[in-house]
Amino acid sequence: MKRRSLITQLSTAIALGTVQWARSEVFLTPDQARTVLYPGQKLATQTITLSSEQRKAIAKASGVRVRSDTINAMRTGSGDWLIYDNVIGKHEFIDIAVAITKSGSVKGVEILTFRETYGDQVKQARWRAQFHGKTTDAALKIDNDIKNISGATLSCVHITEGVRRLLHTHSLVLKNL
Amino acid sequence: MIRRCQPLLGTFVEVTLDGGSDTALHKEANKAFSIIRSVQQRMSFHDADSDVTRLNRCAHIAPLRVHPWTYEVLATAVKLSEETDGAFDITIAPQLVKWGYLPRHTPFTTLQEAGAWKHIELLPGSQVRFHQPLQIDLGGIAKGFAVDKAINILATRGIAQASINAGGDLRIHGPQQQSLVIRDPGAPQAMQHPAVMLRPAVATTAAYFARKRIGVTRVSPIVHPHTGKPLHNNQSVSVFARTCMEADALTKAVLLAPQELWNQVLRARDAVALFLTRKGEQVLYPA
Repeated sequence: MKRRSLITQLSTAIALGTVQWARSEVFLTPDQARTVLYPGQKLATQTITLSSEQRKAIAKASGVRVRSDTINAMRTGSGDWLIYDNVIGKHEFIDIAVAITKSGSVKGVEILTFRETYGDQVKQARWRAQFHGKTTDAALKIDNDIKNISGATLSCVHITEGVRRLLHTHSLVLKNL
Repeated sequence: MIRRCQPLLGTFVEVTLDGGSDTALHKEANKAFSIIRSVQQRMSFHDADSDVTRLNRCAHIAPLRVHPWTYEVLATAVKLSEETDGAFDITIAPQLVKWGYLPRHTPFTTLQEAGAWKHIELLPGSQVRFHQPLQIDLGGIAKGFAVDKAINILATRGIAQASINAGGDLRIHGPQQQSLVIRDPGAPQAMQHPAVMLRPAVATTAAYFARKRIGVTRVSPIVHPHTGKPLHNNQSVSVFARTCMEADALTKAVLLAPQELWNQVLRARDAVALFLTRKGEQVLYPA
């Protein structure tokens, strides 16, 4: 019964042209982000696995939980870093690229993909997994035709936390490599 | 065409540019982001060194010189407070600090003790003085200003088509007709309603992403300056205007001022307010 009423609502809304399902957008591919953040520079891929002690130390220093033990990073010849990471917000799942200089300051933060969902969906690992390695997939561009969304302001506090976590990852781990 | 997004102004700022090679457009997007970043540095309440924090700390003791951009935003804010009889007021910050929406920098005064917009004096030479201790927060107007500044720079640099969206405060530049969608206040993640850009800029204000509970009290960052009470309801208003700064600020006036008054202000500023009803219908004012 519940499902039927949902379907009815949905089809009515689609017929009226007023409905758009969850927003999902690709801004930059990882390669494009690299070119934007380090134009004309050669970077070498470095995949780093954090030990559980390192994860704990980063979490303690940054005050942010470390969900993954793998860091997908690249490094320039002069020792600057580019880190690909993701952040889970209240309603959104976001891939980011963060450029951190050799001395440990943020050079730039770019959002690669941005997906908004319904609350809990974003926290389910299986739901998230379907997107991994698919950042350039056209199928992700659900609302390709309409670009501009106006609404109440969505806070980017989770990005700020994610960047703080990566800065501590740099100072505790990457800097010493 | 390129699209970029960076976390700035406490939200997600999207820049879309068209008409040129990708390499050239990325450079222009960098420029736009750096303009927005400098607005953030000057006008952030969070930043301990911003003009806003400096003013809140000591403008009631002696006049302070601020950046011309900060001065420009303050002048517009005070003008809009005058026009809306204080329904738009940048001095509600004490209430937002109390509810944890803003950090606590300075010795705390309650909204009742602190001064209001009337106590802000704009002196020649970009100097500002407060006639009473008060706390300003430009969160309801500076996003729009940042978007305007960035769009103006892009326009002077010959970009054919641009749009900048700072968390729903959006302005477009260029000949191409652009569409937008407005989030449904009842289901902001799920439903969005197509609308037409009636003016070059639009901003939407509603409480749905920021509402929270403090103990048993429900609060939101949309605060009535006269009563200190938060707006609870699910109302969403979008204001279309010639500049994004006006659109940004006027949404609060429309939510908080008497209708007769905001209708008059919108007319005088060539702006249009769009309400979304429960049924998803769009109602426009001034009618």
